Amino acid sequence: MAPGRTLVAAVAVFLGPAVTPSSAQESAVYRALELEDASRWEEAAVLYRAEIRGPDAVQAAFGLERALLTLGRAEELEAVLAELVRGQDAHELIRSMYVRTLLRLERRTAARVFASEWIAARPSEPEAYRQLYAIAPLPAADARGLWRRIRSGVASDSLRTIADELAEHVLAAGLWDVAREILEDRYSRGRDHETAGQLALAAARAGDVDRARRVAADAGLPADAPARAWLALYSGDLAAARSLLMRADDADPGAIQPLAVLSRTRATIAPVFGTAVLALARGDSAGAARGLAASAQEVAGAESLMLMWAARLHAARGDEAGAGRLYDAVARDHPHSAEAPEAILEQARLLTRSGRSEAAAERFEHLILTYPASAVLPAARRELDALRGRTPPAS
Amino acid sequence: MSNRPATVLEALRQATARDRTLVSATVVLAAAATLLGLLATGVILLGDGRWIVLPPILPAAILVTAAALAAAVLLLGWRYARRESGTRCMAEAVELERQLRNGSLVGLLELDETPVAAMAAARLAASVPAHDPAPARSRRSRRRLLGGIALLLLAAAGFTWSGTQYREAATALRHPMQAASGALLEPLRIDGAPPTVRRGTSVAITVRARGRRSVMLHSRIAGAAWKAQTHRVVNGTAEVELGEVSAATQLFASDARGRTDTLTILPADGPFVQDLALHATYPRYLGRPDERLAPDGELVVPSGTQLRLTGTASEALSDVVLYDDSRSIPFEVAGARFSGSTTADRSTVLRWRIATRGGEEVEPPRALHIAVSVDEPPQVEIVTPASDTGVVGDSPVRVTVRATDDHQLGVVALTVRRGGSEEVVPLPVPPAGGSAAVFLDISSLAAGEGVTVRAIAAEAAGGGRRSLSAPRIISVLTAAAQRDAARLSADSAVAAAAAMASAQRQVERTTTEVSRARGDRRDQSAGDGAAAAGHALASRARSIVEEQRALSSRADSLAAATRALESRLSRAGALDDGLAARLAEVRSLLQRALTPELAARLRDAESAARDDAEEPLRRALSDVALEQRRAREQLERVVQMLRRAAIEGSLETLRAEAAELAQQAVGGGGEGAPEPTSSDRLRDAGLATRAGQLGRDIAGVVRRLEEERASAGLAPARAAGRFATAAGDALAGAAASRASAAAPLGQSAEALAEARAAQIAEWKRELAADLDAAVQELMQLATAETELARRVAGGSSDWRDEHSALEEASTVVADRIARAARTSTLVSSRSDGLVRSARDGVVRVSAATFPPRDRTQVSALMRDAAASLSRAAASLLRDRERTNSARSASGFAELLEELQRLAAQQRGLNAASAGLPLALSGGSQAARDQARVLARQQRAIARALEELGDADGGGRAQPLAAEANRVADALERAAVDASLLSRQDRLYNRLLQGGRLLTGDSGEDEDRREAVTAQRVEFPSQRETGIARPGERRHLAPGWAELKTLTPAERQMIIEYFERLNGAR
Repeated sequence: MAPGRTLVAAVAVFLGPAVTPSSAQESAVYRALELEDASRWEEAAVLYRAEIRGPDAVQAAFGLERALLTLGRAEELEAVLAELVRGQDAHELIRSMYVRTLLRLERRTAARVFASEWIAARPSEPEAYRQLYAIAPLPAADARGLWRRIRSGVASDSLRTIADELAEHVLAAGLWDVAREILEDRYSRGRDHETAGQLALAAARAGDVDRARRVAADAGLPADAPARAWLALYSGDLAAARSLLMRADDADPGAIQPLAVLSRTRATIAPVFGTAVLALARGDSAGAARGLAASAQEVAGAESLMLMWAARLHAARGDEAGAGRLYDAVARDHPHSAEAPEAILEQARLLTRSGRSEAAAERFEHLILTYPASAVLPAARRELDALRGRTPPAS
Repeated sequence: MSNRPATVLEALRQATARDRTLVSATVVLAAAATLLGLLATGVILLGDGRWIVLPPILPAAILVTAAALAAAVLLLGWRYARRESGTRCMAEAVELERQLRNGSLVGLLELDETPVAAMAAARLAASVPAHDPAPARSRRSRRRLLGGIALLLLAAAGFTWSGTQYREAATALRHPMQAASGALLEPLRIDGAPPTVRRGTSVAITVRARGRRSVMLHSRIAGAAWKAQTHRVVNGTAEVELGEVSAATQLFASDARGRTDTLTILPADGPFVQDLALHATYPRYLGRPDERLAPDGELVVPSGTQLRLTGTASEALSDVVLYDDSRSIPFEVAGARFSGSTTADRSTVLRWRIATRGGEEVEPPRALHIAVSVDEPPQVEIVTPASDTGVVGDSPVRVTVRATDDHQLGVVALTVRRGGSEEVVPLPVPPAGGSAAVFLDISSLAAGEGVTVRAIAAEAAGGGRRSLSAPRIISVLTAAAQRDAARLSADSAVAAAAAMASAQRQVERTTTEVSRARGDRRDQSAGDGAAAAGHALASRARSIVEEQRALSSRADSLAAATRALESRLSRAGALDDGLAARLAEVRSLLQRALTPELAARLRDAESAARDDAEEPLRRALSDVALEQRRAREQLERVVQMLRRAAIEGSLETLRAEAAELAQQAVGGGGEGAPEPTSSDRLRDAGLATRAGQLGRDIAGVVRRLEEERASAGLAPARAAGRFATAAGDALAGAAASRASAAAPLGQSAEALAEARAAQIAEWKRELAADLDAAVQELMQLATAETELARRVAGGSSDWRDEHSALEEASTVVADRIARAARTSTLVSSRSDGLVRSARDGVVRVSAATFPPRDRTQVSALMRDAAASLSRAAASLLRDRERTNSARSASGFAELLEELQRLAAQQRGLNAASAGLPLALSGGSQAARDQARVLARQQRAIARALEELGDADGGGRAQPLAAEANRVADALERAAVDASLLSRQDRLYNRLLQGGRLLTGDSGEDEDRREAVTAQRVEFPSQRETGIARPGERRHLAPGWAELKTLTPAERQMIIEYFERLNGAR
């Protein structure tokens, strides 16, 4: 099959029965696809544009999007789509395309306004809600409001899917209360392990650990469910958490630091550590940092890692003084630990930022000489070179 | 009256006659000038050789045209003269010039001789002078005449100039018919074209073409199309280079008027030799039949071989000689045939000199390179045992002899000397390149006794010369000697592995270089050069394949050596679980080093080399290099493992030696003991010697520990050495010292045990530290990469410098993990791969600037790289957790035990599955639910196997995991039938023999097993077999270390026995 026909067939399959290869062969859209195949984007765009109000409007819009974006004419695409979505009967795919184009042009506010208008005009279309929460993380109140509108507007057959998606969205945004509300509703409509696991985690992270345990127990979550591991960790049961988290998905970056701690310590119970991890999950990085530093002695073997973790949290919050104290502690008290090179690097960076270039250079040199095999050395060398470039030579 | 009018008229007529004369002359002059001018123009047009290339008709046309135009001028002028030079015109001119009334004279002319006319003439006589009545008109006519004269002169000058300047053109105009026919010039001629030339000779010719500016030379190779080339003619000739003539060539030259005859140049070949044949007649004593050999290239023949050469030349010959630096061998010549012979008595190069009767040198055939092989005596060696060896027990010892001769072996035998007696054991004569073996009975030897064996080989022909191999001493070892032997075996295994890894590195480098070398190929123009390059490449490829295959066979030997080491350590009582697992892992790594993929790639390369296909061969070699790299990495791991195993084995054998010495020392001496007898003193001296040797051996191990920077075991090992030395000193001193030596010897044994344990712990710590560092660094890199991605997405463009530091850092981490993976299988191949992949992801970001991409793409690449770094960190954390729980530094023992545990689980599952009704899919809901429960359990086993597959470094448990998953699928579908139960049973058996699967031992289902002397088996008290529930177990089943030498059926039987035993209780 010729490449052009292959592309036509692919698009036809993707877009459903509106276009079939046989009927497409005579249509302008088909000719435009062939032009695309020949990389004649300008001509393809003209053809698509001519067809955009015809029976193949959706296909033409997709084609126009491809052609104009390839030509770097996103503004023109936005103008065409704006014209199209003004009509009441614009297809939801075209509306989604319009939101996407606005986001591409970094016009978030316009995108949000349009999505809100779309919801108001067509409250039963799940795609409208999807576009709204995909634009940017919603504040808790907005997310809760959106959930209520979804619940009242979307038909029940689509509600489950949209609820799952919104729940994932708010979970990722750390809106535990809203997530819990959605998941409770979702759980009440149909109990499955996945929802139960999510609900248990949301409840725990929203502060209701008891509810989380009840859900886990009621749902009969399997022994290797990630939610069980996290609940065990939050309660400081390191032995249970260790074996469970080890089976967790590699791609869960949130599990890596706790796993690193668990892999170093043989401690089985560490309630302060569990509380700190829960605080971190709840978004309380200050409390988490304090808890981690306080529980360093609780997890023998992982002290340096705990201090460094706490220091990173302080640094992320902009508390350089708090971070600096912990970097000093790691560098001073755990010079043979895996974290020592990073702690010294961060000390040097802090000194650099505070204008104490000579002291920073001394720290960089110490790092380079003491830990020649460390992977932080390239960064240290680079920053030392930069520092020397602006440090006056010693008299 | 009549005079006067007549006078006026007369004057008028006279003036008219004069004027007409002038005008007529002018017309003639103009016509002549026209003719000459046109002719001059024609000459110029045809000049400079143009007349040849222009149409042949042109000269005639020019001539005719010029004549016609001149005639036309003449005719028109004549008419003009008649019209303008009449009496009437003159009368009008006079009227005009004399200002007479119009018609006064003209009318007079019309009246003519009438009286009126006379009267009028009289009146006009005063106004019209008789001489030159119209002077202005006369002047004009004279001026025109002068103009005509000037024009004629000009045309004549032009004609004259062109005629002299373009003489050949003037000639062509003068003889237009000859010019058209080409007869005007001397004909074209080709000089210097020989009728025949030596094939390949270059030929130059001269084309004589006087009077032409250029000439065309047409040529063709006989049978091909004509090709024409224009050549410039200089001084009447054109020199043309025809090039090398390798086939009959025809040529002719042409211009526009004519051409030369077609000439043919024929190539001729020189005389040559054909049908050269070489017959070799070997010395009679060799018993080899005569044979015909190729008369070119290198001949390797025994000294004294008669070489007879015959041949035929293409022409009659006068002289044929074969010569080298020191002699000439004349050949007999008969017409074109020649023959002669020589005796190969030394290595030389013989060249040909052949001349024809015409005195021409014949192109000589290739020189004969004769390499004379001297009849060597037979070569004989004892292959196994490879060196002096000590054996245990009274099992026969296999002695393998390899014997070869350059011609034929007559006898091969083994001499066995014991004490003063010698026995000869005849052996079968091995085939060429082969070996023969015999089993020596040593049952009559006591511990410490031995025999000396030598192999003898005699050649069948000639003087029946004999050769003797180096002697091998085969002795029955004492326990101490066994320990020494075990240590030596370990050292030699390490050395062999290191040498092999080095050789593998070398062949990998060669393969890579050969697969990449392309420069020479491009320099070759085409044809023979390219073909030669292709042959050279194929030849190198074949040599690489052979080299790699040789290495592969060395790996088999190394695996056998490792198995022998294990056996020796076991007999020396120095083999525990950990060490056995380490050696098993070495064998596993060795087998993995020489994968079927490598063998397949070698076959591909061999096939491509046969086809002489250069590009496919390079690709195949590139694939081979890739597999070789994997093999080399595995071999480097082998070296590292063996080094550590050797240290562990040495520490353990020395500990056993120290413990044995301590036990023997306790047995006698001490205060209050009876006076030692002479036999006691002899035994003390022996103990002292052994203690001293122990001290020296421990010093050797200490050196090894120092070399390996194994710091943890160093201090206790040094202490052990001091204790051993002290004990030796005590034993060598006073009579009562034996008891006092027991304590330091015991302390030495303890210190050695401590050294070993500490060293293993240290290696584990090192691994854990490497993993910890790598995890933290990966996380830090992931964070930095994410931060950079955010900045780039925000529009920052100064990220490259910072990112290059990240790239460098990711390489540091990848190298660290690769190093760690070489020392332990606790670093899974999955983690190793993920770290490398993460590093590649980071590198890809830097590469994204070429070609430049937009910041969105770069940012996305950075986020991908960050995700890869996180994934690699997570995988390493699993390895770290396994390291924590591993008892050995290698983690291999845990792997085997986990397989045994899963085998036990699988057995329980099989029993439950057997309880399900067959053809379940149509059965009850309860049965289907039960099947689903079993499917979940089966899935759990599959998952555990997948994790083991990650950990075993080669993914060998992966097929088991895949099969377990397939069985689980079938259970979920409730597709329980006899075939499913059979598959479950097979899975169980494969799990049960999983240890062999991982160690790479073959012959799994065979009943033959290595037989060893019965030893006391100590069952570990805390071993988990997973057969019965904890708490219910009363009798612990033996573990893998104890069961691994049994067949699967035997293992199953023993495990079931223990299960029944525990169940019964």
